[in-house]
Amino acid sequence: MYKHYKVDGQVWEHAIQRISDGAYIPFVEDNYDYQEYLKWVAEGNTPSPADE
Amino acid sequence: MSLQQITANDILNLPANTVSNTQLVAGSVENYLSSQGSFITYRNRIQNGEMAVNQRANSNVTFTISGSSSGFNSVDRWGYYYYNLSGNFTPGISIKNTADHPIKGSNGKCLEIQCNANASPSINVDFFAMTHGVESQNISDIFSGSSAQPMTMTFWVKSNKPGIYCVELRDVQSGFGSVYIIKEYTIIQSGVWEKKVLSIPAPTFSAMPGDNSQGLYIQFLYASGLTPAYQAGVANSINAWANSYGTNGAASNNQTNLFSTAGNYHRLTDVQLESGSTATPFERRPYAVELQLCQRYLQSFNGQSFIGNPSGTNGNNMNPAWNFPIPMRASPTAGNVSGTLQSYTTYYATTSWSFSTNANAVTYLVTSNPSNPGYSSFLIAQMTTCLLSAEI
Repeated sequence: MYKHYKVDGQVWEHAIQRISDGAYIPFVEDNYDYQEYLKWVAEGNTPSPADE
Repeated sequence: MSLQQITANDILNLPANTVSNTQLVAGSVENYLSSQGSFITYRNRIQNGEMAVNQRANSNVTFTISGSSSGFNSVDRWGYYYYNLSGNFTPGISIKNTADHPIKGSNGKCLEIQCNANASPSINVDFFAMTHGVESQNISDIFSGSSAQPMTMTFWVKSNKPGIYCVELRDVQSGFGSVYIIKEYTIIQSGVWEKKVLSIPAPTFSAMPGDNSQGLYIQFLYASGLTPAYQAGVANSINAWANSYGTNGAASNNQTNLFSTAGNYHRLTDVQLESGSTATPFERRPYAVELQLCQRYLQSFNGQSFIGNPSGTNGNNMNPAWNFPIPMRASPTAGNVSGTLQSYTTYYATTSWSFSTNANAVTYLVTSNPSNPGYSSFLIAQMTTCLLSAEI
């Protein structure tokens, strides 16, 4: 469902990528997609690592 | 003296502060102004109720229900929400932005749901709905605790599947979890535009915050199962606010299944939600105004280019910022991103780009590798498409 991605060679800690459509979701409390991501994590899921 | 008896001279000679709310029938001023071609504006708490703004330019989205999903893929401010818990509710569906509208001369369109392959919901967690989120601060004057106001919802519908359909309003900011109300409306004739008016009692239980959170979540139901999968034995609350779901999820037991036959359709437009117990005419805002209201939640960019010298922290990158024409509700999700990076000379080989966002701008990080440092050079970043969403 989600995966990390890299910025300038480093895993970007401030956002996550949604695999289904490639959208970049910022880690901010009032973003609807981020809240959906938090629910997904709370269900025991873990995002995939960033591409090498 | 009744309103009809007032003459121009009476109005000219009215002493200051002589007309009060108690002397006016609710809606009389709004309806009079409407008959004269003008309106009291910003009564409608629904954005893009006329279904005219479609920044995604998706006029026909086709899919088959599988599992559960919610999101936005058609006209601005209107999302979808479906659930197939039984595994049997798998209709084929089109969400369309159709050029059909009950008011001649209007720029409006309609939101059409079409059944492409039939299926029946079985349990109460099988459903399909179109949704609309209202920001808390845009409705906190109505959801104001003990002084809360009743509301009136009006809309036009047209379908070749007459029957009873449901609308659910859910206060997601109340202190009791989700508090909801279900209202039914009946489509009487097949293939004819009909105007519906729903009265919503005052939500005196809730004092909504004046912030940018999701406050009211509205669902128009097109199908919902009956057999309880949870909350068995608890009756659904119809026409009154309640704080726990009954046996039929977000709909009543009378909900029609639009997806009973392929070819069935349901069209919806001119959706209005306003304070007070009187329905006033639909507030038809100029397209440019409606677009700007929608851009708080969605912005679509095409063909944006940046030219700059590599600099930044390591001397090789550039960080062009792109300020939004309308500040967004929240830091947006960036989707549908495509583009190319070019180096004007060969001295820099561009390698990647990525970006961060806040409610006011998106900032790009364009990474390059210097193949011949010391020479003057610059990069061109061309963003072909980008869709920024701060929807609720």
